[in-house]
Amino acid sequence: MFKWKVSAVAIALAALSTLPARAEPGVDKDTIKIGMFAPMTGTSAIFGRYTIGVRAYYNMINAQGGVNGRKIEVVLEDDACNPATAVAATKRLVSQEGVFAVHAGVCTAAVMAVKKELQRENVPFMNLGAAGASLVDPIASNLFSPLPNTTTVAQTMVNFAMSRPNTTRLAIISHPDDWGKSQLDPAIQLLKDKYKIEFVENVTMERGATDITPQILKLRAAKPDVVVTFLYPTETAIFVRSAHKYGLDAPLLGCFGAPYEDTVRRVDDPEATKNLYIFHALGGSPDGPELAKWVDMIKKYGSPDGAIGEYDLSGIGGAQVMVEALKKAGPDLTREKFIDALNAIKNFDTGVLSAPISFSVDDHAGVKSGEMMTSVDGKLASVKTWPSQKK
Amino acid sequence: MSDMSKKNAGGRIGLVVTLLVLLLLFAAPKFANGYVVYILAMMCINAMMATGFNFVIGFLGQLVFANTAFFGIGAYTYGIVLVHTGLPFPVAFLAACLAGGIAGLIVGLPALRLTGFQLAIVTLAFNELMRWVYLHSGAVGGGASGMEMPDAQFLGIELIGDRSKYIFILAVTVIALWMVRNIARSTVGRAIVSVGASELAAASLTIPPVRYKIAAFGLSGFFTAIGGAMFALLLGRVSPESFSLGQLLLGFAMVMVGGMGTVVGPVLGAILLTAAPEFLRNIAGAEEILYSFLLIGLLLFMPSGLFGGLCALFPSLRERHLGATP
Amino acid sequence: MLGQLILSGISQGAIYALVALGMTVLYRTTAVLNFGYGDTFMLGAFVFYVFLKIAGMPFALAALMTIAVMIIVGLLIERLLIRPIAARPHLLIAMMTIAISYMFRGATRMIWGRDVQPMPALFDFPPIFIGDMVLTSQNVVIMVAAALLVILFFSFFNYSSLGKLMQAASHSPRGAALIGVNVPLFSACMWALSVAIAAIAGILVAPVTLLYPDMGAATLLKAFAAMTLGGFGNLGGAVLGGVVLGISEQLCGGYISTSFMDIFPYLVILVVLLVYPAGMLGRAEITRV
Repeated sequence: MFKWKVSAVAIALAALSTLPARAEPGVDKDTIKIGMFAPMTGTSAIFGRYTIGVRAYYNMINAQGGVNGRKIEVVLEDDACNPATAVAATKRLVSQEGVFAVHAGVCTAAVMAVKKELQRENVPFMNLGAAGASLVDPIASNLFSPLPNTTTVAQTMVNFAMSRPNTTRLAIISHPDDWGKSQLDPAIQLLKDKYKIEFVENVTMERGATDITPQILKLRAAKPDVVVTFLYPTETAIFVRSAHKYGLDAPLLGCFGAPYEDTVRRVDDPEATKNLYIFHALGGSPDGPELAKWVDMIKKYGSPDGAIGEYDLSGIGGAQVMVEALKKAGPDLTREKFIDALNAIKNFDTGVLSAPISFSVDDHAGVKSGEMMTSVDGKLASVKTWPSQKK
Repeated sequence: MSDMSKKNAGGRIGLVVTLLVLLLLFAAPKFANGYVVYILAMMCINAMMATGFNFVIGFLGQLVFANTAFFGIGAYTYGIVLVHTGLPFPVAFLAACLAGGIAGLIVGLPALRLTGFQLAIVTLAFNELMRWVYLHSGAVGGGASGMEMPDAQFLGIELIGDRSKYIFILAVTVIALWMVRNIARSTVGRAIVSVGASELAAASLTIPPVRYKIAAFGLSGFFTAIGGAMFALLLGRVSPESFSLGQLLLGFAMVMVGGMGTVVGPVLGAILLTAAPEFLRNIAGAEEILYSFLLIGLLLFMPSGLFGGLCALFPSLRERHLGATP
Repeated sequence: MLGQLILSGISQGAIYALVALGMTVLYRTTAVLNFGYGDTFMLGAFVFYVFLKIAGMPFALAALMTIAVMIIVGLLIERLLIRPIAARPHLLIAMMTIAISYMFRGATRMIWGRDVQPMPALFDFPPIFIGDMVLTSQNVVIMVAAALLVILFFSFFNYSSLGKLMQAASHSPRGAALIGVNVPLFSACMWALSVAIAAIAGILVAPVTLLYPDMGAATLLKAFAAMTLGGFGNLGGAVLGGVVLGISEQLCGGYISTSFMDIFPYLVILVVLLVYPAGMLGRAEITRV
C-alpha cells in the first residue's frame, strides 16, 4: 500500500517536470503581470499613496487597449516599510506570482534589501517612490529610478538657498537616519566644493520627537540667513511651527517628502509658513492647471483615497516610462528587450514631473532636478531660483 | 503497565511524526518555489528568536524585553566580524552566538537586583539604546544605511540563494532546538523553572537562584543571537529598521500564542505568526487589530497558548519536564 | 538660552509628569503597570480631535465629552479584559495591556492611518515675552492644568480618608475586601481615573504636537523614565521625575548634543535602575520572609 503511494507521487512529479517552462515569466498572450510593493500599512502608510496614480495610469492604458494587445495586471503587496517584509513580498511576487517586472518601493531600506536579489535574477525593477541615491549608485543593470534622489534633492536645495541674494550663513536640521544622512552628506559636500563654506549650525531631530526647543534655540543663536531641513512630513510641520514660536524667522527650506500644501495645512499658521519653500518633483501643484488632467485621470480610472495630492501623482512619471518601454520592446516581449528599451529613453517629458526622464546604460538616475514650491502673492508658485519678491 | 506502554506508544508516534516532518522540510527546496523556501527559513529564524525569548519570559517567568536587542547583537556581530575581520563564516557565526550569550549575562547581572516591572522597563530601555547604537554605528556597523553582508561559504559550499541558506538555517535550528529540549529536561532547565515559580521555595531546596537566573539570561541571549545571525545571513544585510519595538512585540506574541514555558510552544507560535502575515498582508490596518484580538482571546481563554490547548486535548503531548500546567 | 530651555523643559516635563502620574495612580492602587497607557493617551487625543474638529463642538464641551468617552472605555477594559485575569500572574496582565495598546493603535491607524492631523491651538493669546524668553499660551495651559491636577490628586490620596483607604486597598486587596471594601468596584474606579488622566494629557498635548497613531509609544517610555527617576510607585516622585526629566532633556540637547536627546530617557532609566533603583523619592522595597 505504501509502495503505490510513492510511485504515484513519483509519476506525478515526473509528469510535472516534463511540462514546458513558460516563455517569459509574467507574460502571456493577454496580460503583462507587474509586481508592486509599497508601505500600505504601518507608520509610513501615507507613502502608500504613490500606488494610486500609478495604478490609475495602468488602468487607463488598459482601457485604451493595453500595450501591444496585452493588458497590464498589477499585483500589489504591502512591505510596511520593513526590509524583511519587502523581501518576503518580492519573493512572493517573483517566485509565486511570476511577475514580468517590478514597479515598487517607497522606503529606501526596503528597496536596498531586495536590490541584490533582483539583480541576480535580472528582474526589471522600476523604483516607485524611494529617494535614496544608493538605489542607482552603484548602478544595477535592472534597477531604474524615475524620480529625483536624495543627492539631487540636497543639491537643489543648497543651490536654491545660495541663489538668495547676500546669503552666506546656512544652517541645517536633519534626521539621523539613513534618509536624513543621504541628504545631509551631499549638502555638506556641495557647500564646501562649490561655495567654499560650511553650515553655521548642524542639528538633528529624532523621528517622532515632539519638542525641539534646544534645536531651535541653537539654530536661532547661529543667526542663519536660510535654514535647510531634511525632515519627514510630520516633523517638518512641527519644526515650522516651533521655529515661528521661538522667533526663528529665517526662510525655511523643506525637502522631498513633505508636500507644500499639506505642510501649510498642518502648521495651520500663515505667519509661520510665509517664508517656506518645499522641494517637489512635480511640474505644478495638484490643484493647479498643469496637473489637472492627471487629477482627472485618477478620479476616472483610479481609486483615490481622499483628496488627491502630491504623493498620488508622483509615481505617474515612472508608470509612463514603463508603458513606453513596454511598447517599444514590441509584441515579442522579453526582459532583456524591455531593459534595453528603458535604457533608450531620453528626455521623455511626462507632463507630470518638472524635468524629463532620461536613462542610459551607465546612468539609471532618471531625473536630476526639481523645483521649490512656495506661495508668491498668495498664490502657489513653483520656482527654480529665489523669487525676487520675497525676503 | 498499560498506562506506561500508552505513553511509550505516544512517544514513538511523536518521534515518527517528527522525523517525517524533518524529512519534508529538508526536501522542501526540491518542490517548493523560492518564496516558500524563504518563508520556511524565516520560520526557523523566528522560532529561534521566540525560543530564546522563552527562556526568560517562559521558563524564568520574568518580563524581559531585551530579545530584540540580543537578536540585533547576533546579527550585527555576525556582520561586523565577517566584513571587518575577514574571518571565515563559521567563526563569524559562532562569534555572533557567543556575543549574544555574553550580552545575556551582562543584562542578567543587574536583573538580579530588580523586581518585575523595573526589569521590564530597564530591558525596554536597553532595547532602544541598542537601536540608537546601530543607528550611530558609523563605519563599523554601517550606521543608518545598514551593512551589506558578503557571500558566505560553509564547508566549501557557497551559501548563496535561498535554497542553500535555507538548508543551513534549518540544520542549525534543528540542532539548536534539540539542545534546548535537552536543557529543558536537565537539571539546569528544571532549576530555572523552579526559580521562576518561586525564588524562595527554590532557595529553600538549595537551588541557588542567582546562578540560575543568570544562566537563563545567558541562554536567552545565546539562542536569540543564533536567530539574529541567521537573519543576517538570509537577508544579506542588516539595518536598524529591523530591530524596532514592533519586532519585539512580534516575538512576544509568538511566545504567547504558541505557549509560554514549553519547548514546542514558541516554535508553534513562530510558525503561525510568520505564516499569518503572508495571508493577511493586503488587508490594510487589519493586522494590528487582528493580532490584538488574538492575544486578548488567548489571554482570556487559553493563557497557555496553542500548545497548551493541544495538551489539554491530547495529554500525552505534554512535555515531561513540566509540572502542573499554568 | 538657559532660561528658555528650563521653561520649555518645565512645560514638556508637565506632560511627562501627568502621564507618569496617571500610570502611577493605577499601579499604586491595582498593582497593574499599564503598558498600553501611551496608546490610551493617544486615543484620548484622537477622540478629542473627533469631537472638536469633526463634530465641531466648542472646546469645553469637546473636552468633557472626550473624558466621558474615555472613562467608559477604561471601565469597559477593566470589566471585560482585566478583571477576568486579575488573579493571574502580573506577567499576563501586563501582556493584556500590551494587547490593548495594539488594539488602540490598529483602530486609529485604520481610520486615520494615511495622514497626520493638525489640531487648532487651544487658546489664541499672544505669547508672553520674559526678557529673551518666550512663553506660549499652550505652555501656560499645560503647566497650570498639570499643576492643578497634581495638587488635586495629592491632597486626595494623602489627606482624605477615602484616598488613604485606596492606598491600603492596593497593598492588600484581600484585607480590603475583609473590611468591606468593594474591590472590583474600586478597581473599576481606578481604571476610570487613570484613563481620564491620560485623556486630559492627550487633550493638552494634541494642539502642541500633531496627531498620528504612533505618538503614544515615545510618551510611554518617557513616562517610564519619569516614574523610574522619581521613584517607582511614588505619586510625588512621578511628578518630580517628570519635570526633572523634561528639564534635563532640554539642557542635554542644548548644551551637549541634540542627538543625545533621543536616548536621554533610556540612559536615565538605565543609570537610575543600575545605580539607585529606589529613585529620588522611592523607598527600597524590602520583602521580609
